[in-house]
Amino acid sequence: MEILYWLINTQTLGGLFVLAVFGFVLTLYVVMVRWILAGAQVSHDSHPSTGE
Amino acid sequence: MSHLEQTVFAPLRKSGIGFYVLFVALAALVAWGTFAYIYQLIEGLGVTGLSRPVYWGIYLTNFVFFIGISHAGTLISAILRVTFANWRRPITRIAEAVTVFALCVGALQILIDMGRPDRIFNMLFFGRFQSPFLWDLTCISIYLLSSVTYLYLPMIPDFARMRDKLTDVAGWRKWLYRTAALGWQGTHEQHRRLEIAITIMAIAIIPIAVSVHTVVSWIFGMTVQPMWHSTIFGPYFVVGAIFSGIATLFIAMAIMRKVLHLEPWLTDKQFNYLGILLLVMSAFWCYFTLAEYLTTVYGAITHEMHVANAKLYGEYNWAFWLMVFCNGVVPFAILTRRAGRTVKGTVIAAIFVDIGMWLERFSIVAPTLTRPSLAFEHAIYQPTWVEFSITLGSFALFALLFVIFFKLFPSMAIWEVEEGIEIEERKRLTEKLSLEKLRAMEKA
Repeated sequence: MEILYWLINTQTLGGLFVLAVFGFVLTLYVVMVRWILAGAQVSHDSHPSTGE
Repeated sequence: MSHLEQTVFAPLRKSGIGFYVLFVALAALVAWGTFAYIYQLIEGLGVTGLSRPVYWGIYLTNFVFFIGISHAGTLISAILRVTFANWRRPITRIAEAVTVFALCVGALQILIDMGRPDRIFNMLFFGRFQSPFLWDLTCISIYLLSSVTYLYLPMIPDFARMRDKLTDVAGWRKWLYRTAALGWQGTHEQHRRLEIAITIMAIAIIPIAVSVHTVVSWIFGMTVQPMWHSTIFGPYFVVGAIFSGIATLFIAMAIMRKVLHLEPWLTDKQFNYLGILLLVMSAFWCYFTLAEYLTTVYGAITHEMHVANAKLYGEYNWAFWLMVFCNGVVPFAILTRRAGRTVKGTVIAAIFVDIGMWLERFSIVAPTLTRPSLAFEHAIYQPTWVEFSITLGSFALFALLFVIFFKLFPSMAIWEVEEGIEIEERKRLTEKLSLEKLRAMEKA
């Protein structure tokens, strides 16, 4: 219980948590966009909707 | 270029006098709001109607209102995507843009409300898990990041299209489209991965959106102030957010449809189906409001009754009953009939709902603070010209961001709409073939 009390009431921990979560989610999204764009290396087909 | 591309790209190529007039008008209102804010910053919060014990007023009302309408894009675009509602395709871009800009303006209200806005960083330096403000900061920042990503992902193929086809625009815009397209080549694998990513985002963003407005409600609900400390606040705020979000989306859709000539794609169908959703949300809202007030009045706890009386009969009764009229009476009067669920009918209902929902936020924030739990003299909250000016500037900023965005970027996800048209064609062909086969079998 003491550890829980410490976790909830220690200042700055909350701020660090926000930064950590934000950083993690931002990294996830950047990796996702890079994965999408890397699809060009996998296939040489063109999709008609880009007008190519 | 197809008719769709020509229509959607037309406003990106040319600007009529109407655009410049609107831009200047909105910019002037934003400038006036900025002036009022700078005045407030220099002179202090004493120039507003805020004082002990009414620490929160119009700015917090605006904050909750804008965060509420930000649920438009995510919930309409995301939920309709995961339920395979094909009719959503022409409206998702508008909905997602409403979400991002509403979030930006909503978050700004917190800074505006602070006498010392530099102290916002204290949330990070000294934030504790115990604080609902920290939960709010976490959820809203994740939601903003996710909404921007969810808006950007479907735009990548459109950026590539603009990079390739809009060769007659200014150099900086060509650079913008080229950069934003990130070298998109439109291969089959890229499209497959994009669809997967968008679907995952759509699923993930729904609980994020629900958590945002639940946590915003807990800013109030976790206190022990009369008529704030209520277990129903979480779902009540989420329902209200979806309600006001759909209403704002209606207004945005109707304006875009008229100004950008999107009638062939923003048809009666979208307005009819969303009209039904708006009606359903009105029913939910009425149910939650009844549950909230009936419980309060039936329990008749003294300090809660002071606030309830202020809203039902006292100096805030105008806001309360106007809210009930706008959110309950008008939607049912217009939207229960099919003849009412036209473009005109739904927009009229939506305007009333947005007014009603702003009044709902105001009815939650102000009356309780004029009659707090701790013994205090009866307080009065009178907003000043500073608060009204900043509010007007905030709404103008929201509209201005919208106008600038759709001057630079397409109002519809062209590839998604084309995909939708293909799907509808295939469905029609399949039905036609099945019918012909059935007739042939009957003849035989």
